[in-house]
Amino acid sequence: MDPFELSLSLGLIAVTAINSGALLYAAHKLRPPEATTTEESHGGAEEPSDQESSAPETSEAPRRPTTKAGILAWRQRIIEEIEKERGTRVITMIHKKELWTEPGQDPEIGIEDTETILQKMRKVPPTTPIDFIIHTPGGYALAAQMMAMAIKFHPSKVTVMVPFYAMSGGSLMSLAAGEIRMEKYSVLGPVDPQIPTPDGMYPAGSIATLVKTKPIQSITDRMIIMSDVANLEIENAKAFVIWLLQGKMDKEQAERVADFLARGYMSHATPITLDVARAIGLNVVEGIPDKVYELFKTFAFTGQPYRHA
Amino acid sequence: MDEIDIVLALAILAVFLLSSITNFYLIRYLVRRLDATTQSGVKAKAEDDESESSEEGEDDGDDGEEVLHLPSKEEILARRAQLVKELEEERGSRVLTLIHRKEPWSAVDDEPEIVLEDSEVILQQVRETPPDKPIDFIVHTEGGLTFAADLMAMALRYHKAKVTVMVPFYAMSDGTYLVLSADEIMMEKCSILAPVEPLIDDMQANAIMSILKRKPIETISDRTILLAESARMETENAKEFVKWLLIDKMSEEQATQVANFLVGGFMASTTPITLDVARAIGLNVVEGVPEKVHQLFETIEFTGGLRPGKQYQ
Repeated sequence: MDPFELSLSLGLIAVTAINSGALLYAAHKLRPPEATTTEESHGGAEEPSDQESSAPETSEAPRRPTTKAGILAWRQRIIEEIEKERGTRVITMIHKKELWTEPGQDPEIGIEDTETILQKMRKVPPTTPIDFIIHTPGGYALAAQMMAMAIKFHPSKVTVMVPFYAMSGGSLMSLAAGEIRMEKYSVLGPVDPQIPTPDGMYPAGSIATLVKTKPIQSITDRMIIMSDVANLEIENAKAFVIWLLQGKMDKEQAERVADFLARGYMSHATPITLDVARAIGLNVVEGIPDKVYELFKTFAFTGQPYRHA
Repeated sequence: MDEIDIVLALAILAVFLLSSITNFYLIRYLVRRLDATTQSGVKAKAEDDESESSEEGEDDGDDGEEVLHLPSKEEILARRAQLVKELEEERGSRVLTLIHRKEPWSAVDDEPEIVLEDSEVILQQVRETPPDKPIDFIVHTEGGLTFAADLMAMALRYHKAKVTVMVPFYAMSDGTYLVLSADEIMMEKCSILAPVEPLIDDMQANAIMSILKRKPIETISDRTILLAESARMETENAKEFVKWLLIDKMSEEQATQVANFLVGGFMASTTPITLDVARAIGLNVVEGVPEKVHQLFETIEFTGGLRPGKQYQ
């Protein structure tokens, strides 16, 4: 009897042990789905959290968010990473079509940019350097001038990064910076004013020379009037460039650079490459942090909705 | 037998222990699982509330949510009224605003500028201000109808108590008249004023006038000659007006010079008159605009959310 009862009780224990073991195992097995569901519930706000789980950076980007909120949060996260990496405050002026851009809208520098960016720059502590990422075809000159002034007035170092292009007004802002970072292939452009006339925009330099090349009687009244305006605009632009370059080079050189960029010797679309920018005496550093390009991945390059990879 | 009883008792104890442990884990797991599923539904709502309540104190960071959960028009207006009231209490003045800015609710092609309705409102408000109460006038405009701006500038100049005009960003073309009428100007280092040279048919008045000297008269079109005539009258008008606005604050000679500088067509109409320039020509400029004014401007939709294709950080 004794050994029988002993084995029975042992069997009982064994059975319960197996039972509970199985239960524990089942509970363990059921856990992973729980983990993923919580992650999904977070996903709405901070989509690319799966990248944090040490997904190698080489693998083609995180799962692309499709909502505006997702895209903005993604962007914000990258910007914070750049800020942490470089110990700066990142301000961006990127004129690109977005998922939510209405057709026919071509983003360019407007007075709204000025207000926003001035507001942002006001909040940067005077001791914090700024990284200003610029990507723009240009736009309203006065708006660009105001932003350039803000860049010049900022007490600590402002680095302008031009990963692709910063034409016209964007170039003006680049001139204000303490340091310009660009790639071998990224470009700035001339800053000569463009004068609106009833027939379209004309470069100020061309209008100014028109009155010298054609007998005055045969030029239309409006063009003669515009030539006056054009001269004033060129003066304005030149004086402004000289002021921006003050303290970065001697006055004579600043005048020459201003003349080169604002006089209208070349087409408004002429690329001022890294080599040219360096040759005229600007403080240019080659190379843009990789993270900046990651930021650009968040923009739809075609204006088409994202496709899931 | 006794031993067996002990073993059995132990076995039962062990069974209880084990099962209670497994049950504990099982229940905990189930509870978590339940939580997760219910939370994912609730979470979205919670986020709504959160961003709405944090809207007001929000200074920087999480723009993403801000863009998506814009406060309603009523909320924005209430916030603005609150800020204006606070600014009035802070400075013991009457705060008037002339802010021309696209609002989230304004139409796409709506370009606000100075119109006669503005002058009617402002004139009324200046009239309702007791003569001994200082006025703080916040100006943010790209200009518009000169006549309307003149009316407002006159009302401000005639106000007995001190008039301070605040320019946090810009007051261009006709907006500059309003600035000139002030006893004190508050602006930031990068806010700008502009020349007040009249534009005739979108052309600078002085440029139109100069054509009469440059081109043989018989080759100038009739229309241009007429425009030149009205340009002459308009510039005279503008010069006299600027002079009159400034005559109390500086000598007559200097006022004449300033009028000539701002109206004489020596610079492009887009030339920025910065704080330094304004001070150099003898205006009473103070650097810096109260913090409350900047907060007021934060209620104006600056984020790119509603400007198609624009995104700022």
